[in-house]
Order: sequence, then structure tokens, then C-alpha cells
Amino acid sequence: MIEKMKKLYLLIYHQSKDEFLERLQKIGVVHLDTGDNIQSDAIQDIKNRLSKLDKCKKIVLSNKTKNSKVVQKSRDGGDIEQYLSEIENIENRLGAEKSRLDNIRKEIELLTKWGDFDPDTIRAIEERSGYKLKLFYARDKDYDDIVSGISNDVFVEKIIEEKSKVFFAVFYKNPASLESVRASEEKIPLKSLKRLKKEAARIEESIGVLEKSKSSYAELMDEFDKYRVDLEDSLQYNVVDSSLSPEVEGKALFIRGWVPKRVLKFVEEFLEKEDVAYIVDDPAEGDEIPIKLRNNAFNRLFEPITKMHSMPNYGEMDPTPFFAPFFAAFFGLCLGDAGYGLVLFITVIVAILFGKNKKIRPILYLGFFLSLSTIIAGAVLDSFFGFKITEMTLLPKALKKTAIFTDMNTQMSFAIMLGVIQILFGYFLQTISKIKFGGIKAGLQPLGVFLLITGTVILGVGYGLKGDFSIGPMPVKKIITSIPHGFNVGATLIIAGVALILLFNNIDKKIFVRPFLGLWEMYGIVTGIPGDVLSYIRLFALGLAGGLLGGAFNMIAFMVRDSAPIGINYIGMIAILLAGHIINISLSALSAFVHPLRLILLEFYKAYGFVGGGKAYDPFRKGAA
Amino acid sequence: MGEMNSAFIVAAIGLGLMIGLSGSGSAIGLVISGSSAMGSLKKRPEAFGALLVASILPSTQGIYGFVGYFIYSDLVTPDISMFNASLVLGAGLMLGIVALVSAIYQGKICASSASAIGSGHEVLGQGLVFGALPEFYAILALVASILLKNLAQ
Repeated sequence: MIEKMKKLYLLIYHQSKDEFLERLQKIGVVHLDTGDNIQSDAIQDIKNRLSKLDKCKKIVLSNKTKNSKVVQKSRDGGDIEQYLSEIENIENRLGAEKSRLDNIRKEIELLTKWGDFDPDTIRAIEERSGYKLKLFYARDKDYDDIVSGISNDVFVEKIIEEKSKVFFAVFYKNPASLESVRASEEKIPLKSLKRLKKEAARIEESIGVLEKSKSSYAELMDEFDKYRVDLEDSLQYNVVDSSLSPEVEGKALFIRGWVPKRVLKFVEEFLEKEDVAYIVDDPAEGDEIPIKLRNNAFNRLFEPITKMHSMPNYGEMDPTPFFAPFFAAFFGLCLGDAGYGLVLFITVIVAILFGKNKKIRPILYLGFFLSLSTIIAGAVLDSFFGFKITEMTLLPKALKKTAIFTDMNTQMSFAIMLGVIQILFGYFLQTISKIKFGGIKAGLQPLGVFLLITGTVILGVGYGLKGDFSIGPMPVKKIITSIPHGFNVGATLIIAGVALILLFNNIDKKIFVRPFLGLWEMYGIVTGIPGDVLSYIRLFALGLAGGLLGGAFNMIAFMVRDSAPIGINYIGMIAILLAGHIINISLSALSAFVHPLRLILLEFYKAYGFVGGGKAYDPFRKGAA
Repeated sequence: MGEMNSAFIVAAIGLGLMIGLSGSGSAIGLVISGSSAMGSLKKRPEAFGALLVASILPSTQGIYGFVGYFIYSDLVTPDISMFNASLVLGAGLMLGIVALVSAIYQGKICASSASAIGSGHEVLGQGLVFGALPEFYAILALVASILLKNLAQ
């Protein structure tokens, strides 16, 4: 259901604006038409604070040091902004220390090869003897040639050989004679390895201290979250404040809003007491009316699916209650295994009873219904952990009677039948919706499609198929042929449907143009709907694939039990069963969620004539975030 | 003897293609989607769950191949007839090619949705729906190959 809205014009006296907005935000039911891209210094400031807060929260949460003792500081009454700056400061220092540590480590890596020497000694040598030091490396097979080619006033000392390279030191007086050294120079910092290592250890320690003090802010997380809510509230407030348009030389401020009809009385009572003038009006055509979905507890669980596509617009019905039972049933059919349903069911129940996260409650309740549907579907489709229920010797006969769609062809026909039903249902709803919002004439084309499909099914199944066609316990053909004058009824429906489609498509166009446009519509319908119906095959195929894969794991597990040596045979069997079914259940559950989603959002929405594009009702309130 | 051997070879090639092509397809598709998910993970480490779900879709084609293998493997015996062997080969080609191609391209869709999630767009559900579009043809191929087995004599 889409909640009915009333339009509200507000004229606020400028002197009491702040108090009024404050109280309006507190009652939190009026959706205000604020501009899309409101900018002001105050808004920018709040946005900056928000991003700083989020950054700092990330910094504190990213801390991986475990068992760090919480550093006690007197934190009560402190200013959150102050703490945020402290966190940023710590993070900056950490960054600086880490990059210093990186540099030192690089130097250590370069130096390690050359051994631990004292740079002071080298400097002393250079000063006293006048000889200077440079370091070189070359390929080891070239080394002897290099040494013999070096001029006499240069001394060479081999330091180390490594990976077919020779590293050597060269002492020289005259830079010109260096040219005789035909090798590559290695430029390294002349620093003491020992000192560098000490320095690295010192920085590591200081990083540890900083990380610890960073993690001490984690205890403030609740306050940060509260602060975030405050910031969001004041952001909303400022957006509204900047959207007010001054009237009567700035003495009054105007804004338009929306109120759900259900709470209009309450809002009017509130406004009576305030220093404002207001008018309540009905929405007019062309208004962008905010959409608030209002469904019962079961259907509400499926609203996220509706919102995933787009909010319906005000001029159509909320599709949620219409697809909710289909979605639950389709999920069950796609997973299609009573055992897997049972596993999901137990998991969901445990999570509901012992889970602490309140936010995922709706998902768990949805899971409850989906798992129930899976258990039922598995019983009907004859599958329990990949075994056929009808072939299980332990089960009492009464339980096996639930398996009514056991063979593949029946299951496939059943899936296609569900497709026909849902698509017909979609066109039926489209007819109702078009008539409701656009008059009877608007509803005649979808009605035509509805009749055309019905007629085609009657003729096709009742008189086209040979033999006795039934889906499980449903003697479909018999039911259809039992319609008196069934053939004529079917043919009449088809003719009437085609006529309606040809005459009442594009009702804004002239009637003699429509049959030609209608041909194009007919082409779309004739090529589109069979494809849409066949798309429902996936309901059966996914269940089949999941069941067969589960069966395959069972087979492999029993092969291991029968052929592996005693001792590991049962362990192996259990391991394969556990791992196999866990993989199968998670992948199948994902598919079982996604494919029905597609059937709803594509095939059903097409038949339903879903347009969407509505803007969500987002009242001016506190704690919206 | 010669006839029996060639029939058996034909059937074995069919099984090989069925598993080989579909498995390779899933592997390639998962690499495509997984690498993109890894890139997004750097930007949003907290979105691991969503990224995992978004990038795992191409794994199903390999499973369809495996299911096909299980259905056909009992047909493949040393004395398989040429007719049945051709069915196995046909099923292998049919399932293998569709699974290979759909998994690779599905991987690209998943990669795009993973990178969109990485940039902060909450499009997991939409991405899954788009990913399910090419997968349907792999499902159809599986169904067709299962129905094809009804012809086996």
C-alpha cells in the first residue's frame, strides 16, 4: 500500500522560525520540499565535520593491536571535536613515523650486505690519508679484468660475493683515476648499521605507543555515534533552513511539505499552537509526491526488494504485497530441498533467539518464511539432503505422500504453470491499476493481453496437447476441457483480447491510428510473453541442479565409506557430507534468492506495468540517520 | 571392437567437454570478478560480505557442468552405443560452450558491480539481477541436456 499524502503550505513568522523548526523536527512527520543542491557555509561546515568524524572512526576501528590496555584519560565532559583532532594528530604522527621507519629499513637493507662498519672510522681514514672511499659492484666473471685494469694509485678491496656479483670497495686520491674502474657504483648512506637498527627499534616502539593511545579512543565510539546523529540532525535542520524562501519582505518564510493523511490531524493540532499560517491541500497532477509504503508485518519484509528496483510512483499500486507470496514460494522451489530448508530454519531460529544485532532482524524474519517455504517445496519436490524422499526406507508412508511433483517433466510443467499464473496475475493487476488511476479505457489494453493469454492457454493446453495432460495431481487438461464449449470460449477470448489490444493501445492517439500501432504492440506481446513464461523454467532447473549436486555429494561420500580403509572411511564420509552440503546450500541459497528476484523485477514487473521512480518519504526529523 | 572403441571415445570427449569447458568458464569468470572485488576491498574493507556475494555468481556454471556429468556418467560404459555416445557428446558441447561463455561474461558483470560497490554505491541486489541474466542460458542448457538424456536407448 502507498500511503495517501496531503500537501501542506507553511508560512512561518521569521522571528519564531528557529523554535518552530526545532519543534517541527521533533515531531518528525512532515516531509519538506527542500532544494536538491542546497549549499551554505553552515551546511559545508557540518559536512566537513561529518567526514572528519567518519575518517576518525575508521582510524580508531582500523587498529589491529590486540590486548592493548585501554589508556585511561579523563574523558568526561570533553569536546568530541577535540578528541577528533587528537585522533587525526596521532594518525599523522603515525604516518610520519611509519614512513621514517620505512626509509630506515630500506637503508638497513642496503647496508646489511656491506657489513657493520663505523662511518667515523672511514671519515678518519679519509681525513688522515687523503684517500676517499667509493663502493662498486660487478659481475663476478668480470671482476678479475676490472682489478687488473685499474690504475696503480687506486686500492681495491673485495667485500662480498653474492648471486654471481662481486661487491668491492675502492680507495682513491685522484677522481680522474676512478675512470679506470669499469664497474657500477653503489651509492649507500655511510651510516652505522648498529645505530640504524637502534633507531628503527626506537621508532617501532613509538609506533606501538601511538597505536595503543589510538585504540584507547575506541571506548568513545558510542559517543561518536551519538555525535554523528546530532550532526545529521543539524545538517537536516540547516538544509531546511536554507530552503525557506522569504516572503512579505522577509517577515515570513515559506516552504511546501507533505504529511501522511493518517497523521494530518496530529500535525494540524501541532500547527494550531504555533506561530505559523498553513494551508492543507490535495496533491495536484504533476506534483512530486513522496512515497511511503505501508504494509502488514509479512509484506513489509519484502519492501527492500521493492526499493531495490525503485519506489513506485503515486499513480500506481505498491507491488510489494502482490509479489511477496510469490517470492517466498519461488525461493523455496529454487532451493527445493526439505533438508536444506530445515538447516536454514534452525539457523534462523537460533539467530533470532540469540542474535544481538537488532538491525538484521527483518532479514531473519524474511529468512524464517523463506526457509519454511523451502521445507514445503522440498517435501513437494521429493528431496531431502539430495535424497529422494520417496526412496527413503526409514520414513513412514504418510510423509511420502507430500511428494507430488516427483518426476522432472511434472516439475517443469509446474514451474511453467506458476509462470503463467504470475504473469496473468500481473496483467490482471495492471488492468485494475490502470482503471483505478486512468479510467476504464486505460485498462482495456492490459485486459486484452490477459484475455489473449487465457484464451491461448485454454486452446493450447485443452485442445492442442495430445494425450492426457496433468501436472502432478492436477488434471489440468481435464479441468480445461470440462469448461462448456471450451474451444469456443478460448477462441472468443483470443479474438476479444486481440481486438482490445488493437483498439485501445496508446489511448491518447486517434482511434484509426491505433490498430497500426497495435500491430507493433501485438508483435511485442507475441514474441515477449512466451519467453517470459519459459523464463520460469529456472524455478525447476535450480532446484534440480541443487538436488542433483547434493545427491552427487552423497554418492561420493558413500563411495568413500565403502572403499576407504577402516578408520578413515566414516570420518571421510562425514567430512565430505558436511563440506559438500555446506557449499551446495550456500551457493544454492544465493541462486534461490537472485533468480526469483529477477522473475519479480523483470517478468512480473513487465506484466504489472511497473513504472516506479517515486521519491521516498523522508520527513524532517531527528535521528534520521 | 573398433566400433565400440570409437563410440566410447566420442562419449568420453563429451564428458570431458562438459566438465572441462564449464569448469574453465567458472574459473575464468571468478578470476575476472574476484580481481575486481579485491580492488574494491582495498577501498572498502568493510564491504567484504557484499563483494563476496557479488563476485561468486560465475561459480554456478561449473556446478551445472558437474551436475551434467553426474547425469551422463552412468551412460558411459565400454559398450556404449554410437547413438548414446553422440548424445553425450552433444550434451557436453551444448552445456560446455554455454557455460564457458556465460560464466566469462557473467564474470565481467560481477566485476562491474564489485567495483561499483567499492566506489560506495549500494548496488549488490541490482548487480545480482544483471548477473542472473546471462546465467539463465546456462540453466537452459543444463535443462536441455538433461531432457536430451531421455532420448538415450
